Amino acid sequence: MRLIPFIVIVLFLLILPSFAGLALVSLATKILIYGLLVMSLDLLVGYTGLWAFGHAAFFGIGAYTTAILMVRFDVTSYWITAPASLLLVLFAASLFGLIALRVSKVYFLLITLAMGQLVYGIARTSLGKLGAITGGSDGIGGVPYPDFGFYFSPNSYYYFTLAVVILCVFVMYRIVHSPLGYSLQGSRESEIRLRALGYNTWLYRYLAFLIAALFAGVAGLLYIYFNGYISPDAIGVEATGFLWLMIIIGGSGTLWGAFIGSTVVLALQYFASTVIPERWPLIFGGCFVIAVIIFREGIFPKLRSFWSKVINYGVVKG
Amino acid sequence: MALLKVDGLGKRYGGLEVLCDVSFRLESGERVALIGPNGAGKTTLLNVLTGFTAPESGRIFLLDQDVTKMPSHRRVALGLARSFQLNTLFPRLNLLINVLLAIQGIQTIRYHWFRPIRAYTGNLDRAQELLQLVGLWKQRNSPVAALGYGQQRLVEIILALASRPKLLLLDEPSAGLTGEESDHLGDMVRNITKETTVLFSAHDLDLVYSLADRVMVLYYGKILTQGTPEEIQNDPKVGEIYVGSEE
Repeated sequence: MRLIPFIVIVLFLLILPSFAGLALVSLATKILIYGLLVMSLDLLVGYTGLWAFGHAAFFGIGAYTTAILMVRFDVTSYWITAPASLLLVLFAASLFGLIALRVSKVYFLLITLAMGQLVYGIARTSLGKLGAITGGSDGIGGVPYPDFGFYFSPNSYYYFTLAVVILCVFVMYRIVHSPLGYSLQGSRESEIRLRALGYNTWLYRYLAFLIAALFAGVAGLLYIYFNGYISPDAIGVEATGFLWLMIIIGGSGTLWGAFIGSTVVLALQYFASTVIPERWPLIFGGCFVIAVIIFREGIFPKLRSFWSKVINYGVVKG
Repeated sequence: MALLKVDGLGKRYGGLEVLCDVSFRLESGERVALIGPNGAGKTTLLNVLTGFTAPESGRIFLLDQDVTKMPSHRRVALGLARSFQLNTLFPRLNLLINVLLAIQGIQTIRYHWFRPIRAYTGNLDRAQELLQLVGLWKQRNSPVAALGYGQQRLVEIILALASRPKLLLLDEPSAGLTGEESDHLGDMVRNITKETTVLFSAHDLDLVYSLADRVMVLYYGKILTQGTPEEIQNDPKVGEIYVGSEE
């Protein structure tokens, strides 16, 4: 019974390309990729209680590494660029984590924000050799779909994204319900108690930081192949702010909330900007305020309690 | 061999000397009470013993191993566990998860990241045993924040017991409990196996005299005196500081 909404949604996603046009399929692909990115941030914000504000940087490092390797250095093999990108993401996260995890709460937020801006700054530099590689504020484009021996179409790439995202959600779901995952939630609830129980709480936060960065890197890879183009705007503090909004709207610490948040925000952006592009921020701001007032804990927790009422009603009736 | 040997511990906060040349030993299986007026340094002493606060001088030996500079989580692995004066639980996680987290604290499975936490049936059985001990097994699926204060106090203690520690430090376990709850807690501590040595601080002298084999009196950071409950009860110095502090 509890799985019914999940199955319906997956079935809907599977048949979507058969009736939706290219624009909608492309929107759905983007929603899935951003959902994955938001979910990885939620592991930090919602589960571990780490207020990370530079998260889009890991998404950016993943996307940029692949783009630079393919476009500037003609490394066309997916089997080289993808692992190299993820390794670089992990390397950056392992350094950033060492520095940022010396502090917590709002100080952690500020330091991760600074680190995110550092990555943004490097990507945006248009001078000298670095500028020639990153493309500066113009970004870098012309990245084709990955070559698996057959050609991707937007529809088949949508299915590819769906498969990768479902796999990632499955792994993330297992993580948050494992001994490790509950330990992370324990460190959110009471770091002192967790330490008194024998846990190296620093190491747990560090692991969470690395895992979240890795998933963000995967989202970055999916994005660069999907979009073919990446620019500094997609990875800066504003981008991270959007991820936070998606978490708040969807509901933090829930995994599924990430996908609801990305659906609401990106669908709203899509429809608002086709109707009245210049008013989009206004519409979005209004919807955000309404969402926070009506769904204080986020949309997903409300839906979940609604659905369990439906099930219980059925049980009582049946 | 002493289970715990403390040698000349000193700690000051600014100009205030909170602990001053504190030395004592705990033998295996003892029940020792730590008493003293507010601000005597009881909590600071427990924090130093568990590694939450670093001492400025002195050394701590747990099972003949110098643990003075050891981080707190590694002391737990050696067999040290503690409870807190103020309930320090995982409020939004449910009761069962709270206990499971406590049980796996000294096991390597705490790093496992793929199997569900509830699939470790050995730990599940142990959690059931602990929760039945305090009569909270039925409430296992409610978040700890939904429990009453007295019940949370009991959870505070079973979390400390979960790792089967060799040395258990309880910081005012009966703080804020009603008389009846306090008696129940006393029974619980009395029933802890003798494999576990217990050092507890308390203000409730009835509880102290009924539980402890030995009582240590801390006064302005120094150990004023120590002895059996009878000796302490009849010690004029102890009467003086208690009467003096309570009026």
